[in-house]
Amino acid sequence: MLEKLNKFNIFSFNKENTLFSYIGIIFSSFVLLLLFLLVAYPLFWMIINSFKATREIYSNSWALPSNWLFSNYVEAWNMGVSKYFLNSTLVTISTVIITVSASALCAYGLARFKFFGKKIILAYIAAGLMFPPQVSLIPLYKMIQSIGIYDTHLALILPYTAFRISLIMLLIRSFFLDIPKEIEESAYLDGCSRLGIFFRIFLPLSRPIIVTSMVLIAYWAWNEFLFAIVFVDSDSVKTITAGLLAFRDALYTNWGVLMAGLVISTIPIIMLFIFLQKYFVRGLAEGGIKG
Amino acid sequence: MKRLVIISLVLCLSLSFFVMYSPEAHAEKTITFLHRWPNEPFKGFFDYAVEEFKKEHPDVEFKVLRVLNEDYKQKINVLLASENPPDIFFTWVGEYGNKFIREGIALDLSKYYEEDSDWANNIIPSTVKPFTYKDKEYGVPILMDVRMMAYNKDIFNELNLETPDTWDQLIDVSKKLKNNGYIPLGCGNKAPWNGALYVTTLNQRVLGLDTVKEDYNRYTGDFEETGYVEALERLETLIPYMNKYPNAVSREEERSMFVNGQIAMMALHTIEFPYVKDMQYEWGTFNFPEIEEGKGDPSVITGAPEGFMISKETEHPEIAMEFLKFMTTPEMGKKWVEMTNVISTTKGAVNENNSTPLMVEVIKEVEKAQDMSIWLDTATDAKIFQPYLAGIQQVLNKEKTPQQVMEEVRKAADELRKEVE
Amino acid sequence: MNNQKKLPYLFILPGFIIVTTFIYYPVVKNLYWSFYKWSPLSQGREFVKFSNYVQLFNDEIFIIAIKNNFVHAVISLTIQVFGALVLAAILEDKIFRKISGFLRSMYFIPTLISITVTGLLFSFIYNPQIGLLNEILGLIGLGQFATGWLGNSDTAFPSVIAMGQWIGTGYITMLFVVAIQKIPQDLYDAAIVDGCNKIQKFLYITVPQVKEMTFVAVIFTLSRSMLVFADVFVLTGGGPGYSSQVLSTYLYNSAFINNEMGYASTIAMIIFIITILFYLLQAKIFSE
Repeated sequence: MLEKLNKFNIFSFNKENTLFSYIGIIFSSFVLLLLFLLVAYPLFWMIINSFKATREIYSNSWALPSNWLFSNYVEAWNMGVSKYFLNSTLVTISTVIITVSASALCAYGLARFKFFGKKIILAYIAAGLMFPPQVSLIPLYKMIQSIGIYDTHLALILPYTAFRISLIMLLIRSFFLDIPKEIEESAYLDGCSRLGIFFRIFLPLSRPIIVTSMVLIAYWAWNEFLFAIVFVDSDSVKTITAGLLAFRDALYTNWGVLMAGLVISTIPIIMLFIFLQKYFVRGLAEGGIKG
Repeated sequence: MKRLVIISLVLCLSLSFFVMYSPEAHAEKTITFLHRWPNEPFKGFFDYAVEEFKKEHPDVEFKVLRVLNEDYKQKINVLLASENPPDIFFTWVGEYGNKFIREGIALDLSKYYEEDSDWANNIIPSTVKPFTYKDKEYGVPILMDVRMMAYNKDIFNELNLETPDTWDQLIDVSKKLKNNGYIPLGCGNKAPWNGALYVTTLNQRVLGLDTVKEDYNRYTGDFEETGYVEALERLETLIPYMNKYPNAVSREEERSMFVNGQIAMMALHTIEFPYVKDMQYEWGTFNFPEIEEGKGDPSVITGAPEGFMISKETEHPEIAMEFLKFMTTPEMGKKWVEMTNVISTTKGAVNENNSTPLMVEVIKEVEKAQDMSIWLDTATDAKIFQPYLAGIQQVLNKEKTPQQVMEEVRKAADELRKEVE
Repeated sequence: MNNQKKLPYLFILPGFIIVTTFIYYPVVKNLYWSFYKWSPLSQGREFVKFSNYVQLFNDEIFIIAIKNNFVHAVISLTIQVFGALVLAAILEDKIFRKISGFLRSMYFIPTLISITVTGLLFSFIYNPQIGLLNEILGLIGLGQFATGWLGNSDTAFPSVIAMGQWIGTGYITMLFVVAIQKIPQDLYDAAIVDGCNKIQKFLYITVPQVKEMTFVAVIFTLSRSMLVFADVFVLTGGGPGYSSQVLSTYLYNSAFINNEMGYASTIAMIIFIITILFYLLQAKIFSE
């Protein structure tokens, strides 16, 4: 292959040519800077406007606020963002717990046992990945009403769990498969039950993948939109994704407060990212491959 | 040990969920009350009404659901069709409300109207009419929303303008306003109902209320009259006098621009009056001008009542009706006007003591009017207003001609008629 | 002994039940309902066989929606997959190593933010009066391009697509960075010895080495484009007119605004078929 590379060597340099490199560097730096501004400026704009009164946003949306209205944040929090926050947190944490539990159990069953129908069941659960939420929307809508959980947190938690199990199960299972059999065997000889092995050996060893899974699920559940707006009506149960829309409608034009609400909603996930960046990145990469 | 803790946590969570969401052991009587106002000042009124009612009926519990406008339109149908529909629910009139009556979802309230004639006679009759079907009442109106042309008096005085009585005068006034740097007419059509309401008024002015009523009716509508095309063409002539990019501007922004003195005239709803309180300029209202060549009576106002219906499935029809009557007694009517500044449907609720002179002016117009021209988007079936509203947006964007839009509406009307035969 | 045999089934049971109840059962029901015509209000359901499907393929709005989804997909693939790969390569270059970590995280932030927040933020940015976009255009002398971005049929959907790129590019870049970091340095060293410049290194080493991640990025971007819902819903609601409708919003409209539940189920089935086709197609390409 390296001979081929030589043939195509149009530029015929042996070392990196200084002029070309400089142009390349300047150009790339410019691109990086431009992209940085593209990403950062709208966020910055959102933040500075969140401290302004609406009239000021109208007249001068560029400038820094003349008065830093921290009251916008208090107002936003009191007018409902606190509720949405709480709901999102409740739904997300519940989804994480249930999904990880069900997926881990499932993964264990599929990784370490031989039983009739194993391959089919594996394919069955893994195939859940292929189904987009849209396809279940209408029947789920009716079903959730008949079961009586419409407009409650469960209306979100259960479907969210269902749509994440496939991915998380596969992730955990693949991790389990890598655990050497000897560890199990010695525990078994010591009189440990299968369930015991699961709890005392597999789970502790799987800590990294479990944290990664939790991060993945949390990220998805926190930002889920479709089910959040269809399965929940009451303002008191809405999560942030649906609640902010209602918030916008209810405010008419108090945009400073709206922006404050937006900023408040963004902070936790960014905090989560900063602290758990490693897991985030790893999870997204591996999650992507399995998907 | 740690694992045990986690398992028990999970179990507890699940248990608590089931406890929370188990069929609730309610107070004897629970009324689910669904309305469309999570925002003030309306929310305050309904909360107040519930509190006061509970004082007289301590054994009744209320579950109040507040769903905002657009969301409401989308959710209400399925909510009503579910296992536990709300006992009392908000509705607009026209086909919007009629479908609930037709499908047997709304409870027939006529016997309550008959029984309590004192109460019934105190409600302005023209507001009850749209809630009736085959001479039976199916709902109780709570407010009257009227669309008036609001104008900035200060600007008009500055330029020595008179409020226009005819179409031609409207164009004239708009030209003068534009030449002096103001936006003559507001049109924030991001949510497409605004344009549709202009067209509601134009349709009535051009064709007359009877024709329009016939066409909005799903069984008889064909929209064959050329007047509909003319109405859209007139809308087109107004475009140069409107704010730029009408489809990109929301209703709230349009109102803001009016309040800030950038827009000189806008079609304002009485239900929006509380939101322009902060306006620094003096403002007034006039009824939409007459179209002299048209067949429509210029005194007809564009407006409609809004109110509540009771679900047929309710377990407590008596109490639900009590509550509705409670909200529409003369005292509560006055309280409504006090708290919201919106026209109540009870007689005498709007008077010089609790309303601005402007409101009193408006209520006079309402009482003068012979009939009301109901909003296009609630009067017609979804199959009609979908293409109609989309078409109006396209006319405003100069993407389709009025002819093309009415063709599509006609087609939809034909299909609909066939379907419901 | 019997207990032992049952044990694995017990382990998989919770997951199995949840997935069946909330995914498989509804999907089957959806297929069933796509052959009916019904509104949530009326009690009855009318069996109409394939007429929903026939009506769908003759439906002008459906055609617009599918077209929009495809346009979204093509643009997303170009910018997000191709662009992100180039960006990742630049970031991983020795020269930028110091700020690479910071920039990567920065570019990643749009993905983290809830779609509602992004949508509302961008509705402000696109606002003709006070929006950031028109202001910037004015500032750099391109004021004549200022327009009501979300209000014109020809700019509404492109504006939605643009926002989609803002959100997704950082994510894909992160994926590629991870993949590039796994490429053994010796390959590059050997290339330098042979006198390769950076562009060649990129084309002949980086690109082939990240094939697997490219596959992932393509799937992710494609499925996001086909399933896009929130972006459109928050920014334009499908308008003005029908110009920014996509499959998912049309599904929502049919069900909740037009009260045509059967029709909505039909649209859902089409979405499903498209996503399955893509999966199969890519599985095939990948295995080669």
